[in-house]
Amino acid sequence: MPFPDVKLANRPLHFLYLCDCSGSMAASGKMQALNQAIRQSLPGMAAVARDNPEARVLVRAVRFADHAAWHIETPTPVDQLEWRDLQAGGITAMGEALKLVAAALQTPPMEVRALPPVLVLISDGQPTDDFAAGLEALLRVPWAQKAVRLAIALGHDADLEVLQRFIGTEPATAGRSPRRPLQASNATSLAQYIQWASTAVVGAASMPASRVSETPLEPAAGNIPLPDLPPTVLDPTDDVGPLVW
Amino acid sequence: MVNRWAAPIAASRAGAAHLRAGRPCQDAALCRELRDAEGQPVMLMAVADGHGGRRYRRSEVGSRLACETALAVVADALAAAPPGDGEGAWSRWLAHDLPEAVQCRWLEAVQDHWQSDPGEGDFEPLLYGSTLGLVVMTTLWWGHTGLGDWDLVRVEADGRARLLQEENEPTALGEATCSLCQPQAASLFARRAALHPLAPDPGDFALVLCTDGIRKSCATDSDFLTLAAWLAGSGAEAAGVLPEALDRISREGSGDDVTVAIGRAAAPGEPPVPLPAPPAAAETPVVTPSPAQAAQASLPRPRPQRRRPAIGRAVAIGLALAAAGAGWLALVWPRTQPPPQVAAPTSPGLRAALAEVERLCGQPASLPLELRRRRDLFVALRQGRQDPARLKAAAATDPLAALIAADLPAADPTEEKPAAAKLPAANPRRNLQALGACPALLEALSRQWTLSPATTP
Repeated sequence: MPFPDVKLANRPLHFLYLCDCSGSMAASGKMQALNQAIRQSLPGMAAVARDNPEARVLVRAVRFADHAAWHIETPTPVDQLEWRDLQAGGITAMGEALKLVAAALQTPPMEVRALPPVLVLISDGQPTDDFAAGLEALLRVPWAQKAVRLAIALGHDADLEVLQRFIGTEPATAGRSPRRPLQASNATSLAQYIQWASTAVVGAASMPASRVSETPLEPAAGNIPLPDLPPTVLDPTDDVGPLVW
Repeated sequence: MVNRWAAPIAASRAGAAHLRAGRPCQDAALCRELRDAEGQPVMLMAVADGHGGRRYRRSEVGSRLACETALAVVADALAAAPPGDGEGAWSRWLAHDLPEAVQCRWLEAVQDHWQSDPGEGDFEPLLYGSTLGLVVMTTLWWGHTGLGDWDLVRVEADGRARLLQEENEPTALGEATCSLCQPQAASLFARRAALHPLAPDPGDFALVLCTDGIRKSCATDSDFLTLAAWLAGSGAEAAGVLPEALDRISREGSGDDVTVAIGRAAAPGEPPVPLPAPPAAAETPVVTPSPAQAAQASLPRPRPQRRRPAIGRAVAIGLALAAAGAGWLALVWPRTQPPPQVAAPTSPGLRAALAEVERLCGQPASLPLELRRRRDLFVALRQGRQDPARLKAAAATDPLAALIAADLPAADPTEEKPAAAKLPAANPRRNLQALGACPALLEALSRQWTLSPATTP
């Protein structure tokens, strides 16, 4: 009996950038550095996607300034993505951005069979809207709870406390520090973090590997263990290169 | 009482992504025919999915032990009371008693494994984390239980398929799932447990039990149900195509390990499955697997095509041999051994050999490769450097070597040409037919014998 006419398909892996586009991002070339870091990371991300054919890496991006809006609204296969530069200007509607992402992670439109998504929040300042409400809306969504949530702080003015709340708390384990926001103080370290998130993290998230669901004793057990940071930036507070931002 | 159930089949394959990463198959499956306290047949199928990643680095052992533990618990319960003793009690057993016993014994088993093979760090059940899905099929009812992200589909004779069971835990999403390694594991079985009484004429239907790798490989649930119906409907043919089909599903789909077990209540168009012969008085009513059998659990097992189920054949062979005053060893090795002591068909060697024949015939595509890996053994046997009697005596530990030894062609005294140029002189492999060897196996063995020279070049 021949194989039936059914559609077998790899599993979508949604990768979402949440980019701070407030006016302060224009200072010291931060906006330009972010655009360049993301653009330069795309070939590496595409290579990881090719090496993991069971995952279909789909990229989206949200920009937030006076308001939050989709910069790339359609989930786009990474090998078809052309990064358009973000522009800086306005304040920091981070909470609104989180609500926008929360809506996108509802099922539907999220596929039940998707791999846990990857959310990367990049900011250089403090939210100017109701961040707590946005985070609460986001974390009510099961896919957001299961997501790999990363945060990159640009410069010393970034609000590390809100970024920490976004990624959640994870206690130190053997040989590993507690999870903290990554702190980039120049274009080089920002590029390294973006590269790591778009390759190593995407690779880890692409591998189908079941895990024990959350328990009161192990609240974080259900999430994907993060791969190690590059050796040059093992400690997220240990910056690479000169302090610029 | 009529047995409606055919012997279930199962196959478990390493996922495409796992193969690429050099990881083992962390799924396991097990199918068995048991006997209840009254000698009635009971079919069992179990699947388990060991978790991936460094935290669960022994989960391929955990999943295998999950299936074996479930089998042992079911066997014990059936030995104590027949399935007709109150369906309510059996419902409670599926939801509560069985889970507690499974969790308790599984924890003991993984701890024993750790003690026999300690690794780095301290023991924790998390290392062996696994799901478990279980279906028990009796002459009066069938039931399911377990925990984790397995799926169960019922397929009617006309091909209609519906999803009976899936994981609906709010905390289980993406790759997260409930597991035997969780402290509250036993309490998680109840919501996946149900007992379904069999009507006097239940009609033909099949049950397809699978790990999450299959459903996650399908673009939609409609595709999944179509695929399940095909797996169930391919019938005896499935014995040959199942491993290949699973490989394709993983390769073109999720990349995850994939496992399926299929139970059938009377194959479409066929009469109800005849009740196997009752066990001999000396036999244990309930069959518990030997370690060698258990080791086969994760391997593909075919649905016998018009062959007696393995246990039924063992019983039949045993009864026939007992009547003839000889054991199965005498039947298989009449030329190389004096008539041995009568061996009961429950001997570990026989059971291992039967299981091996079933396994090999269930994956005909891989037969040539499997036998080619034993080329040295073929050659050594042909050249008299290996003692066939010793290999046959060790059938419980290496059943394939025993089968090869049993198939050793008799020496041809007139042979002058290199053996590689000739077919075996005699026809001793017909002995293997008594064990249900399929034509593909016999042919693959013949091929290896023709390639194995009787003398050193």
